[in-house]
Amino acid sequence: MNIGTTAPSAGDLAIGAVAAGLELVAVNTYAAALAAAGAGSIGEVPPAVAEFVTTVQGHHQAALDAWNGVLTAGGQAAVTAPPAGLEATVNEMFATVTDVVGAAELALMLEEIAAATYLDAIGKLESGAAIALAGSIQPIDRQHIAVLLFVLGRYPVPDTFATADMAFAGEGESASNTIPAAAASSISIVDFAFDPDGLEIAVGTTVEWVNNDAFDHSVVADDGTFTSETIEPGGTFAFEFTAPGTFPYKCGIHPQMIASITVTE
Amino acid sequence: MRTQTAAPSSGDLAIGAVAAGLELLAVNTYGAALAAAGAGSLGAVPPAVAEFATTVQGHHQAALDAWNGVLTASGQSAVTSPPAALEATVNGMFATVTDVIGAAELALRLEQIAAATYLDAIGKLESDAAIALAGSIQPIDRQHIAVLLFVLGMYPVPETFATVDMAFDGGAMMPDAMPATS
Amino acid sequence: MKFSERAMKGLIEESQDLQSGAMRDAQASRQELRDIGASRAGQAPDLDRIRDYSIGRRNLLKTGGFGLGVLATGGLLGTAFGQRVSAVLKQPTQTDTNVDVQIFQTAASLENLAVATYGAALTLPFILDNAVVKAFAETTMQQHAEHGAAFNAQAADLGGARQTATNPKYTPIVEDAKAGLTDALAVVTLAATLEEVATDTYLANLTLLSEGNMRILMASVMGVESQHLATLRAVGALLEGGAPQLIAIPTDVAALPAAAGSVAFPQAFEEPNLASPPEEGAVS
Repeated sequence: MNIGTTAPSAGDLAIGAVAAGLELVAVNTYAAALAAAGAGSIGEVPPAVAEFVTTVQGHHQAALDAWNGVLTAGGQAAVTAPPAGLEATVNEMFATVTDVVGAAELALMLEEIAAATYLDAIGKLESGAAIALAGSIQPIDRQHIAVLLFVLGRYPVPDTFATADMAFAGEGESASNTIPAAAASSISIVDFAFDPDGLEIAVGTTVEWVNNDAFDHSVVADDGTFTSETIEPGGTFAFEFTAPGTFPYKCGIHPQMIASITVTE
Repeated sequence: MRTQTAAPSSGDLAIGAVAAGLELLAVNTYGAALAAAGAGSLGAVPPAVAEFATTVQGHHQAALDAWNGVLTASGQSAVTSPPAALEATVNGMFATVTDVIGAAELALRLEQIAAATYLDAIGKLESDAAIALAGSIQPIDRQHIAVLLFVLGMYPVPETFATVDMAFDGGAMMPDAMPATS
Repeated sequence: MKFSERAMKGLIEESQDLQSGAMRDAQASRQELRDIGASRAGQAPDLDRIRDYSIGRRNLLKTGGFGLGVLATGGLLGTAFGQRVSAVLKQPTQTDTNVDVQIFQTAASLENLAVATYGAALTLPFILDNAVVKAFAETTMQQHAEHGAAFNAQAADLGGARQTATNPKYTPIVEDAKAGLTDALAVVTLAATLEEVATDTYLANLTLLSEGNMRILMASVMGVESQHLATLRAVGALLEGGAPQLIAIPTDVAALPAAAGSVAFPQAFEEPNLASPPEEGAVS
């Protein structure tokens, strides 16, 4: 089979419809952010952020148009509505956004879902055309992620490899997920702080610290229960909590960075 | 928000007593080193090292006097003896010192303990007076560390941030840590 | 022209004296602290006066550092400037958080200047030709960059803007000094002055910050700046003493002049003589 000349398969078109739906969510969400900015409801918007939102909304519109072109050329209807469950969840989250930082964090989540979905798709698509399209969009979404991380004060390239962890499988009978939840047992080290700095977990949970900062950090429990080596930017440290208790800890390099983990039965 | 108390609190005085005990231990240890040097039991002592020990002993004496001034002004007794367990440990280590290098390594550990204890105190003290005094001493102890590292053939500023790792809480034995290396 | 540390410190004091009459109250506090420092070399800090200075300083910062009386004396009340100032004084006083933010912004501005200054030093051939000095300059520059990042992270965490510019007061002083940087000793002297400004500023900040953990950060960095200062004093003394070969790791300890054992720390207590006030490098 010559993948380059094969028309998009039914599976490709199904994936394309999911991709189009995601792009439409992105277009709508960035539009809502621009409207909120114009109405003054998210406070002062830095010029670079406004430029970012306008530009990136345009990228997602172009991607939407491209996937709808694939769908209609394959005899399917263009996608004109976002996946309902995902849209409802995003709307709910948007209602809690009160400033640019909140909007950026929501945008980051959407870009991560999009990029992961495309990476997953690249492994499943069958036609050259669909693979090429997905492959041309995924890196752009990864670049959106890098800039959003930078704007949010974090290291822009924390992952050594992109992953498909946050891929969206679409809605309907075959769907097995909605918005992937960030691991509750994950702590981000960013901007000389632990986020969250107060974590509650159950016994048996493994906590993973991810250094999303631009500097080395470490994790040192006050009582010595856990101690990491130096964690370089992008690096991780994991520890399984097998006993209940409260575990204050700090960065061994920066004494002002303090946090705590509470482990319950 | 911190309460700007006029006088050192009881917590401040407790920390001050620990600081005074550490300073007295430092004074005594440098005194013992100078005596050993004079007796020839450390071998040849470079002039800069002798100057260092004399000067730094004076710094620790001044710091001891300052903390005792804080204590007595608040109606507490001056500290006249070092913390017993820590003193015993230091004496045990000093007994194994046979040359200037060994003496410098012991001094380095004491200075690191002192500086870390002051940094920890700066975060816990409540009155401006106590914070200011601890703050005026910590950087001097860090400078002692820089020169000792240099004398020991190490890079003088290996840490980007000073840490509280070797802070002494007044009761425990000497923190089990090696001198910082470059 | 050989760079003179005494001249530079004179410039600093002169520029402090040239502040406007509207800052006279703040100026008086700072002069008082310099007097305290000058009279107490080798002695313990006067804790009562430091307490009063700190409380007064915090109150000055909260009220803008000057009063309507000063404006009236200067005939400024009826002017547009006076009206803007009056409006400021009628606003609610600054919160402790605002003072904390200013402190971290000013601290970041000093770190930014240190990075720029060591960076400029690393373009000079007599610095690049000396491997030990070059390594110190590179390492120290990186340490200052991390200090600045930590200070800015704290400012941002408090809701303030990050300070990306170099300290506005000392930048022109450093620029003016550049023409005189014709040898390593001049560079060392300039760098030592900046390290002392940072050390003293961070010391003064300790009694102005509102939280213990903020003090830990400030003192953690202060401790390292003081080590930079100690090292530069020792290196400067060896250069002045004509013993550059002893600037090495490891060095020949036996060959060190006796004074090398004490030149790094001339006083028993650090005094905040060259401290920058919190508002100096603040950004809105």
